[in-house]
Amino acid sequence: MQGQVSGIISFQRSGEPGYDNATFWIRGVSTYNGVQNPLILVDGVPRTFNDIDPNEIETFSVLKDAAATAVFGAEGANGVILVTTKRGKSQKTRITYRGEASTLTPFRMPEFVGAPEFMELYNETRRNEGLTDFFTQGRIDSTRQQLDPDLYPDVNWLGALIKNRTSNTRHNLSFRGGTENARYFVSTAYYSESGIFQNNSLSQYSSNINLKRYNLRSNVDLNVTNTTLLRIDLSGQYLTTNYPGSGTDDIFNVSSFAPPYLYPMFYSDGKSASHPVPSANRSNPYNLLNNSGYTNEYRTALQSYIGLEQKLDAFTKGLRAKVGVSYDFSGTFTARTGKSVSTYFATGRDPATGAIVYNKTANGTGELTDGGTSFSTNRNIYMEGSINYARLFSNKHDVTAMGLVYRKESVLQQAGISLVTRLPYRKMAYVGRFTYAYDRRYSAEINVGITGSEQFVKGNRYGTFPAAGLAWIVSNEPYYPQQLKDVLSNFKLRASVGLTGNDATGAARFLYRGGFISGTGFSLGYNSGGPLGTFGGYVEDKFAAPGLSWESELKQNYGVDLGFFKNKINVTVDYFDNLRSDILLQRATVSEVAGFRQMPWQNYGKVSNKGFDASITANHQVGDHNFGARVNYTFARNKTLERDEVPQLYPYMNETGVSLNTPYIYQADRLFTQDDFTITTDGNGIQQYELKPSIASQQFFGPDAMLRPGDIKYVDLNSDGIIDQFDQSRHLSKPTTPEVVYGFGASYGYKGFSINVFFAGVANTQAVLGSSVPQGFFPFRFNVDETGVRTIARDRWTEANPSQDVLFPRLRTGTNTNNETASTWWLRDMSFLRLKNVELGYELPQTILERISMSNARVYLMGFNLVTWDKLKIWDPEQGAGNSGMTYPQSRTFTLEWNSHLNKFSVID
Amino acid sequence: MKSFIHKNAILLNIALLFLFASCKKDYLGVANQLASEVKIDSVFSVPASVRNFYANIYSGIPNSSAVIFNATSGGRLTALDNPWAGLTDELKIAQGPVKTVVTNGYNAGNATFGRWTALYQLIRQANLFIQYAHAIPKLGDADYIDESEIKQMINAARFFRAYYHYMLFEQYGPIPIVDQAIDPESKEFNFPRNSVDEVVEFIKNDLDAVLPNLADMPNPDFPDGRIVPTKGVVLAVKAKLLVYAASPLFNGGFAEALQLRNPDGKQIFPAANATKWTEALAAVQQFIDFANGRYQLYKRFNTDGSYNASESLYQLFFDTDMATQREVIWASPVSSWGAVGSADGTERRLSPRNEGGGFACIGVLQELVDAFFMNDGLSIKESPLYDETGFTGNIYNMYLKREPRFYQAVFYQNRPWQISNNPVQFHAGSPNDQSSTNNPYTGYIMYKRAARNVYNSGTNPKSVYRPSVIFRLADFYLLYAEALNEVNPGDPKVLEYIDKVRERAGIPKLADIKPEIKGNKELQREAIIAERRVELCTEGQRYFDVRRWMIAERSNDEGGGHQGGPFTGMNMQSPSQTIGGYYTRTAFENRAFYRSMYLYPIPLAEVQKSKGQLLVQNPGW
Repeated sequence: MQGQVSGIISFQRSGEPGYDNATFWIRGVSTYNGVQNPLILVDGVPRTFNDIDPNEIETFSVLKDAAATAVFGAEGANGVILVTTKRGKSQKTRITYRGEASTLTPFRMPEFVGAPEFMELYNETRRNEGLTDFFTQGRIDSTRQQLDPDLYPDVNWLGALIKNRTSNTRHNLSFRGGTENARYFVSTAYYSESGIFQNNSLSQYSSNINLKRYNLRSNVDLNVTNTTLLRIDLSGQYLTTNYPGSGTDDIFNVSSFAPPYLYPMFYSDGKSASHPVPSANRSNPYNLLNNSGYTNEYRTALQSYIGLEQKLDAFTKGLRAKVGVSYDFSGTFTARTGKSVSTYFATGRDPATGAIVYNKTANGTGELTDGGTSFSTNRNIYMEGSINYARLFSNKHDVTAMGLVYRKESVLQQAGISLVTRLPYRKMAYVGRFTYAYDRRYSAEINVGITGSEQFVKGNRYGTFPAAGLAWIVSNEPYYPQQLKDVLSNFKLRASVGLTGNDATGAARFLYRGGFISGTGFSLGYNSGGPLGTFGGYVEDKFAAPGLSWESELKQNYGVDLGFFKNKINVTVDYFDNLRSDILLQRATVSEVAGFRQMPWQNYGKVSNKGFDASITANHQVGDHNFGARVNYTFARNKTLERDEVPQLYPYMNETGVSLNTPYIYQADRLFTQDDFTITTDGNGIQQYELKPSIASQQFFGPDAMLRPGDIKYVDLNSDGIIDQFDQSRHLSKPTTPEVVYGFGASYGYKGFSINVFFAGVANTQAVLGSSVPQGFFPFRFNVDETGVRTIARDRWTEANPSQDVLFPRLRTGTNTNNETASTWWLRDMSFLRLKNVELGYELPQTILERISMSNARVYLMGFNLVTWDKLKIWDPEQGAGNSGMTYPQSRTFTLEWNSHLNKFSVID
Repeated sequence: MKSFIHKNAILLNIALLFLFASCKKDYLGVANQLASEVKIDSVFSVPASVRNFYANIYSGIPNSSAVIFNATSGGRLTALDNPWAGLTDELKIAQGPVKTVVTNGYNAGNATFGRWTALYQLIRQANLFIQYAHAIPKLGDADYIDESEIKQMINAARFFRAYYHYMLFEQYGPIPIVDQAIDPESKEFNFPRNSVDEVVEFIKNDLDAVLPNLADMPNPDFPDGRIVPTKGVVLAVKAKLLVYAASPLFNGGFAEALQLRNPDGKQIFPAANATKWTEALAAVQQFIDFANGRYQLYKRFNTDGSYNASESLYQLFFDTDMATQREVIWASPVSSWGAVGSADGTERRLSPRNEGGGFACIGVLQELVDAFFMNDGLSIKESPLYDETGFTGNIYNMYLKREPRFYQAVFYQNRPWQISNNPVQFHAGSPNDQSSTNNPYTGYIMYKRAARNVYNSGTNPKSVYRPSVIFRLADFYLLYAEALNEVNPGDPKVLEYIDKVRERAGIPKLADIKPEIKGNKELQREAIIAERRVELCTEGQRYFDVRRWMIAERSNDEGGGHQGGPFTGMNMQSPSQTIGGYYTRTAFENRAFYRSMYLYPIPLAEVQKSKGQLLVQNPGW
């Protein structure tokens, strides 16, 4: 999706099978609370499309402006995505088989230094602090010479746990056809994907990720009478997955905490190895992957829809009525199987026998154990009824009208959940739409949605959301010059304005309800045994706030559609200006002296989101040669206008007036140099560093006396001589979510041969390194036995090379707030451009096809994520700063696909 | 045609029926299935919720046992715990924010240990109770609250309203008085500070008003209600309040504060007024008179009838028997001592790392070690018994011939640990050295109030319950001596009341060994300061004492009390157990103290919220 459709901002943070759904927003984000994602409708019903097989999808469209989204009720504030699946056609049955096999290579994982370098680095780090070497040269040499891998191991944890290649396959078989009165599309699909973990073949189970998905779909249209259409759609997805017993994020993270020198993956005699003092962070990553059991997830989703459409031309021409009901069910059953093993840490070798001497660190049976199960399901019911009218009068007046009523309900069903969680989420809406077009030149539309939500108090449940749009097709004017029409064949101006709403505010349900909750309580007495007279406590909860209601968004859209040279080149450009108001928030500027436990809630916040999106497509044919090109570009910039922020001491600290998701950081000036200190030598010959008085104190992060050349010096933004939180600014970084998403591609076809290339990228985004899971990023942060060191640490300040142009400042043992704090030193541009897709296609010649009874068949060779251009370099920038790059990676993928139609077998003739 | 329409109408009807068959009258009224919204009137009509609401008012009572770890707040200390021992010249706390705040300092925007928010919430809780609580008459067998019970509860709520104002005053100086529940529908939430005199007057009036309705002492047959305020508690608060009000910090001694003005020009810190000591003396006298015959210093005797100071000082914090425990005036049932090995708490964090999985991360500063007297009752500077030049066995002479309170409070190098009898060691290479971030930094572990019979192995108890003492008689004896000394230094009761405390501590009386200070206001004052430092150490009082006396910048030459600058311990970097090696006073950190720290900053956000800067910040912040 990234870069393919204008108006969508999307990225994919993880590549883990089954958890690799992209995050996406339509035209960016315009609220700091609650749900920011668009409303997704599959075949007109609110659903996800995550597990739908791509072959089932007929169209995918994005509704961005208020006029377009109004039809779907008021919940369009975050935009609407419409997906329709393929339907039957009155034709001979067309049997399509598509099969593909891919090979995947993980894209750019962090690399770690080996044990000898690790030990030397740690000694250097200690010397930085005036401490003696921790590792003897003998130890380092023994490790380098691999004299005893049990006692002096050298483990590349990540390299040992992941493969450099995995695979997936996909098969799809579909039947599409029908007669005039009965049409159908039936599709089956199978998809399987393997993870990138090294499976330990010794185990009685697989610890690698494995996902299998089965899809079924049957879309049937029946003409019950000449004027009555019955639609019956059934679809289902069934997934079975296998995951390691430990979470994938854990395995990756802990791989960056595990030191390379301390213990091997397992000892040469087969004993399981562990840290001498194990803890969650000090786990052996090998054991996390291979000796912690496995988890199976079974996800089932079923969707059903029955719709009836009645033409009512008998009453008046152009009138239709439609009713439809859908019932969807999805459930996830998770079954965990645990395992624990006895673990050991080698403390030496018996001088007589040479056998390893162990300290046993944990007891385990080595057997699989029942790790319990959980089951969670969702049911969704959607019902709608509508009257539609469409008629063209005098071939000039094109009128349509629609009235629609719908209800929907979504319920979480799970054992043990509270009443308030299991109560249904409901909406009820009345929608009216009227459009009028005159002579294909002018058109106008008016929409009104009145939508009710169960979230609010009676009386405030319904929000009214009107919208209107105008369009003028200039090129259809009689006075539009014919010569111009040859160049600018289509020229259309559009404008729309409207209100949409949002009730998914992210806060607790039924926020308007006030009340009391249990409090801390206290005991009013005691004796020698302990407290007596204990009471649970009871305190005020939220105040009743019956005024709470919908958040609303005023959306303005101005667009132009241009078609050049008989629409060989089409250009669409839209400018949008969205203003979200009444964002539900808890008042922040109420004095604590009032003693409220929960500050009052109000519809109070405001965010603006403006930008533009554009797309250009071009097609040209010269003889047998087909040329095509396309470009998409989306830019969206938001700004918090009101969040009841307590006025900050300095304007640069304010969140109001700044884009959402903008890091709040210090401005790094440079690294300290010798010249910044007054250096004296004490009686023991130890040099003492005292910051010169002209330099702002950084005591806020730790004593100034600990500062040395090579540590980060910050800019004293408020010039008070002290670096503290008042020197943090919101104006130093771009947002962590990209403001620009773009894509461009070209295609060329010649007879049966085709080539397609597509690039996609994001821009205007930055992130702060080390802000998530810092102990995996900063060397020795959790001390020597709880850290790995990445090869990027080679790029560091040292006394020998006191360069300012390095990634890491002076290395320190343990946490070093001064250097680790979020600042521009760690700020990196996260924009990137990818060669997302290259596709070579070849249509088999007819002569061969006839021999194998096929009407046509194509072979494709495709590559995904082939090349990435970025500035980060040290991990995949699309992951952002999350987990400091230790996230299940995206892959570089090569796919071979076979796509064929079998026309010879006609089911219905 | 007609039949055609008919047929379709049926189809449509069926469909519409199907669609709306399940129509409920109030489709969106999902929340109707929830219990109805609780209104305050219904809270106060059910005895159980009244009692729970009432008990919640108590939850601001401070927990003096949480010096490093409070399990109920996720480990982190709050301002209602006892971070104060680690924030003053007593302890080094090696974990959590206390560890770094002492060296890094703080500002109004990040000050962690403010009582502001928590106590104003409880003041509201008390105000709501006072405004809404009423009797629930007995009807049949159901629970009820009669007039006299509700009157007692409202009376206690009023006490807590005053007490929480007092706790805010102790930390911030004058603060806005909130004597009724603020209406959440109010247009403005902007509260100016009242003056010191107004705040003191308000608290005092409330205390005086609740006093007559309270029991003299807790009912010995009803330990379940033991901490419900009694006359002794109220008089104790009043005594402390008025001593605070008379002390230099709040009585014209803090020059910067005298400049503070509310926007309307009101001066909120008063100029010095010596008669405040007379009022303070009256209040302490009122308490002392009341205490006479009711409370007494805790003492234990050997079977031969001789006095056992060590046992007295130890059991003082453990004895919960109302018949024998007559020193503790008020204690919180909440305890953060936890258990060695499992339930985390102070006990585990102070235990050596090699004794059943301790942390050894509550260090005692050398400055506190030096403050303890010798067993002749003299300071280490004065006493001929003090020696830093040699060893007796493997014990450094610095730790010998000290007063019993020293051995109650400090664990030093090579002192044998309880149960195991292993010498505890801190030098480099030893089990409690600096190789772990969990180390005491100073070579001393806090031992005061620690249970001597817990040990994390075998059948030894892992935990012992003890309440967290808030007020005990020794504190008030010393306050009495202090107030007397300020008003009439010639009164022999000044030394008499200090000596009561010293006698219990097992050291000679000042009247005997230093008769020359008798009647000398300055020397007697210093004697009181020195006695309070030792007697009340680590209990959470010193932090506030050095501030109210305004001695927090006083150098050692001027009598000590400074809270900033280098603080010392033994040299834990040294592997050698020698004088000049480990046994060397070594500065391990440089603490930050600015004059602004005499008073805690009002949270910056509160000041920023206040339109027209109605709420003025304390000086220097």
